[in-house]
Amino acid sequence: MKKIALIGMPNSGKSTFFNSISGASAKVANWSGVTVDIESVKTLIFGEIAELIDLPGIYTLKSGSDDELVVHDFLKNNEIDEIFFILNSSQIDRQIDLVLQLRNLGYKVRLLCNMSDEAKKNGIEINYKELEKRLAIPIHPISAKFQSGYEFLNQRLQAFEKKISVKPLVQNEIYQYVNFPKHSNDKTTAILDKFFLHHLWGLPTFIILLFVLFQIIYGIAEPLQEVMGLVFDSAGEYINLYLNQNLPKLFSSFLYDGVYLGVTTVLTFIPVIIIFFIVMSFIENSGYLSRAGFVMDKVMEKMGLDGRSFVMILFGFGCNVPALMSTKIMRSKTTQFLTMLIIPFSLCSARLQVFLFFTAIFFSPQMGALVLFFMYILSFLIIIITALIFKDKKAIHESVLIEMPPYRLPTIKQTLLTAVHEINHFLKRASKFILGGVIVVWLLTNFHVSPNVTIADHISSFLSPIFDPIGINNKLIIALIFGFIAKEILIGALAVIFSSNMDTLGEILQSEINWQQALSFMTFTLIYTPCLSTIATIKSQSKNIRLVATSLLWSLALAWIVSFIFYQLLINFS
Amino acid sequence: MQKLSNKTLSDINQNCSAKIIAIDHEEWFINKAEALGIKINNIITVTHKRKKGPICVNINTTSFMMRLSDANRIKVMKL
Repeated sequence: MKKIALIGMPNSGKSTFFNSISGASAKVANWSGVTVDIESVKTLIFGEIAELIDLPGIYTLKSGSDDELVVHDFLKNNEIDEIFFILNSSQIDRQIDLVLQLRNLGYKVRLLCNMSDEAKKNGIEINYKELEKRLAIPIHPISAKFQSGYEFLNQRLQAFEKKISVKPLVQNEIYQYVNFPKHSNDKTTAILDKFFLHHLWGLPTFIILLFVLFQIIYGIAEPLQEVMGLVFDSAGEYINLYLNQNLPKLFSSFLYDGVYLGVTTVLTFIPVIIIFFIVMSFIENSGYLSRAGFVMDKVMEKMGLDGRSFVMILFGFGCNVPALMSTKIMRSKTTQFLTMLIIPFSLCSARLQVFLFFTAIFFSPQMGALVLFFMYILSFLIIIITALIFKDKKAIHESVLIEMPPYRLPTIKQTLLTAVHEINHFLKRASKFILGGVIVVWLLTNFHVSPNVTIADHISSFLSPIFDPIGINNKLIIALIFGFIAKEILIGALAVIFSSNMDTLGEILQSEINWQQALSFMTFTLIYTPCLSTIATIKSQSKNIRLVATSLLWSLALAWIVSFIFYQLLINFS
Repeated sequence: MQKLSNKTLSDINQNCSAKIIAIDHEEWFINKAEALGIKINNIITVTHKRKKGPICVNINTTSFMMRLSDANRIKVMKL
């Protein structure tokens, strides 16, 4: 089977091309360094099944960060039949040298001039035929975003010219084949940048944007979640009746109270996940992320970090795991490890589910939205505190060069693909952790160590001296223990612990705890030990046990301290 | 018209352009900078500047941000 590698500079659209011809769902965003690992897929190219390999972006073949070394090692250790070099047509003048370097190393290179539509719109004219002759490689203008120019993929493979070395382009020679307009036609980027990068408005704009974003998520997702809850509750009544009539009591309780309630309670959050990732995908693909990095760089520098760390925190809003993986683009281990230590405090979508659920129960809609926004602010504050405490004061600040791509309007297809990818990811985690988790919770809450004392009671009473001062009761302790595996389990675990559906769980929780305890529980959930996948990623990416231990212990200790302060202040002064 | 005084990129005001004459930095930075178009003799424009913060520059169709400490190591000739 033919092996075809996708190579190109960062943010030239390799993953968009990879997804569009193979139906895969590699993460894409308008930001340099989204792909940091190798992904491959088998797909039909040139009339036969070939292995297409998506590689991280590289700037040069000389040296680089960890993600660039992945490509260098791959090229060194693998036999490749062909390279599809994906190039951003608007930047052909500076990206073309790398194409020739690869060609002169003996690789069969096919040049795909991506975003050719955008280049044309910007007044850039490329003489593909003459350039093809000069470089002695096949060139195809394409648009991966709109899947145009793909006709060559259906043709039979043409024989490559003999491996003759091609003279490198001399300075300015490229301009014989490419005409750039004297002034940029992209007025939109210039206008938006005046606002988003402004030294006064830049930062407030970002905060307002964040606030509006979460108001949208809260406003749209909440009612949809309620509808999902009603559907599952209604179906649950019939299922419960049927199970009670046909199965022994213990087994029907296991299936309904354990599996059904636990899993469906978590599934009611699917609309939230969809809307959250549609909004996130829009921001990631728009090109705004690097601007946020620019605006925040000065602040981050004081914490021993840089603008890229901030972008990774924003990535962490979706899921901490890919955000941790993207730290590979950092050269300095000091910056990389510190970024890895702070990313788990980024309020991920799994924690968002818990907060949406609790705010809906304990606060009015207006207050709920503010509490949710406060949790995001708290997440940032925890990140700042952690970074200031753990920053290496002697470390030399890393040099930073971040590309600022033009603003782009993501297509509906692109946005929906991202949402589908995240739902798949959510359902995979659901099948991996949530089902198993809720079953174990049911077992712990239904099996006794002595009459009237379940295993869960036994464990929680052992831990209650630690959690009493922060207002977290015995039943919530059990849910928190399972939240360590995956935060998505928390609400499902509560449903199983209280044997209730979405409708009744809220009422039961209101009778069990007050809003101060709820806020303390939310605070603890935000800060305490990240999920198992996050821990595993920190370990695999850093290969540093000390960092893993610090992440675990520091987050636990800080969660308790902050929850204690909040809870004691709230019960004594409200 | 070119002025004769040599300056670094960090001295260039917002919306002003300069010609790169030397890059005094580590090898990896020079390599990456070259790949981004920051090469000797190229014209660079400072598009955004923050007080003691990063700067945003533009070369041809590419914009990118860099820290002031890095801009200090790029010698330019003001245009």
